[in-house]
Amino acid sequence: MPCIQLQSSDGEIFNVEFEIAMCSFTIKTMMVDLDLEDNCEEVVPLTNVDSNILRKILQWANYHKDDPEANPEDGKPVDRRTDNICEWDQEFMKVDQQTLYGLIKAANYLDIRGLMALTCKTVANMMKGKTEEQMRKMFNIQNDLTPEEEQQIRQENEWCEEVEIVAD
Amino acid sequence: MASPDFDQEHINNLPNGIHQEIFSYLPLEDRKTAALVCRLWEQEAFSVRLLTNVQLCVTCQLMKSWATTISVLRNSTRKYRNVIFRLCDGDICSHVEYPLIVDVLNQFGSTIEGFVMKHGCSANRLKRFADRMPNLKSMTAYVTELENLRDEPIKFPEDNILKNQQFDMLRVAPNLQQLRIFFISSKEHVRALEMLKAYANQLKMLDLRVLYAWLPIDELRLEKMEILKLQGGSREFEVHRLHRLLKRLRELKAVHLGINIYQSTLEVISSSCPKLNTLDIRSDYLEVGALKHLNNMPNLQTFMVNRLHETFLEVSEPVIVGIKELHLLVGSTALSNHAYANKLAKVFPHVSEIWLSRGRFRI
Repeated sequence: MPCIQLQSSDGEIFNVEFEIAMCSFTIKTMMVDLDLEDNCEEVVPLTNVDSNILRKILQWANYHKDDPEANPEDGKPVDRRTDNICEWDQEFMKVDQQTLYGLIKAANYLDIRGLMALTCKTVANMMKGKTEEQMRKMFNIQNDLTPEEEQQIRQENEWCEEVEIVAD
Repeated sequence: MASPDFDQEHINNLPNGIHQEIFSYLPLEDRKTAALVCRLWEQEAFSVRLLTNVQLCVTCQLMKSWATTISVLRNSTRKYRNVIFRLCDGDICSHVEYPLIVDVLNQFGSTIEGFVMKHGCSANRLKRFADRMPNLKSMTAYVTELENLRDEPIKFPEDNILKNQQFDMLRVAPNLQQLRIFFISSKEHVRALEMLKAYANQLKMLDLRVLYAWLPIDELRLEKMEILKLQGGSREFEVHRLHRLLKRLRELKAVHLGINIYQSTLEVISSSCPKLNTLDIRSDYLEVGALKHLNNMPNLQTFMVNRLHETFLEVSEPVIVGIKELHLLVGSTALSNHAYANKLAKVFPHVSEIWLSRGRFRI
């Protein structure tokens, strides 16, 4: 099995099967651009991802390596459900907020769409059904809105509704 | 903390665009709450991208306390993409309404893509609204008075490139692709047609409802039309004009005819619209045996019809093979008649879903 070597920001080197590394569009593009496809000796440095996060990501990518590739061009609306996370992923997402944000940042930087969706859905699920005060507490956020701004938002919220979708 | 230290991972230190990605998984109600958490969240939860499925809803209530309403709207930082005016009909409102609608459109017009007005409005005013929405993609409106335009000359050049300033919504709404428009005027329908001519050749979807007015629809240029929906009476849509129109619709994928048609119309559709996948008709005037034309529509998958009398099912030879989805406007007990259900299954052997609804189709 052909491998490539990925180096985390703290210097650890991971031998990764080609196929698994390819879940990252960033790595994929890099490989093609640098013409590394048949050169296993090259070390690819990932300056934004530390070893803890990279280890988690590889674990996820390994489990999902046989997933069909999502094709956003097929005209179907993007899946916005958050109640369809498989059991393995739910278990995988049982991490503290630090790790969760680390995974989001890395998934964003490495352009791993499936992991991006999973992590964002997980955060969205943490928000669902909460009051603004509960959300602030959950994510440790200071309210920086003036009472006037808050009033403005409440007012506008009241006038906003979901667009009526009319099918063909 | 709103701006925590960078050595600690904090949700508000995530890179640009991530908040929007997260909020895109939230239903609108939760996004409204999120907007109240802090400034950053407000911007992101109602960012331009996430306003795609949100509409600003302006009602009579808001109109009545307009001074407050407009001052809130003027302070708004949201770039609304859809607006719906739900106002009551009648003269009492209409004097105040117009300037207020213009106010809203002056504020948000440049980003508005969807415009819905659920009350009557003159064509003249509609044009002025459209003038303020250069990115309009979809418009739903009821045109009541067309006579207001009487004094303004309307001329369209032969080559179909519209230079005319009068009723030229095409120029001001170059992105418009979907139009739902209901004509309830008994007069001046010629002007209505001129408005449609201005729009029609760029449209992919037209939903046209005509009451008490006759329209020479065959004069419309609708070459790009993919979804056509006509409602009215047989007086409003004459058969020979309907046929002339349909013959030019090579791109048509869905047709909804809320008017009574004959077998000849099915014949025209089958020979003129090769891409058709959805057919929605009323069967009351159809000749027995007319369904055979459905087999000449190679891409047809969805068939919607108000009812299918048993006599249709008895003579329908050969069976209709292409249809996978069948919609009927009958009560839910219809299929408990086993003899009927069996015949239905025989004529449409590949139907995997049958939808029954009372009243009308939701399309």
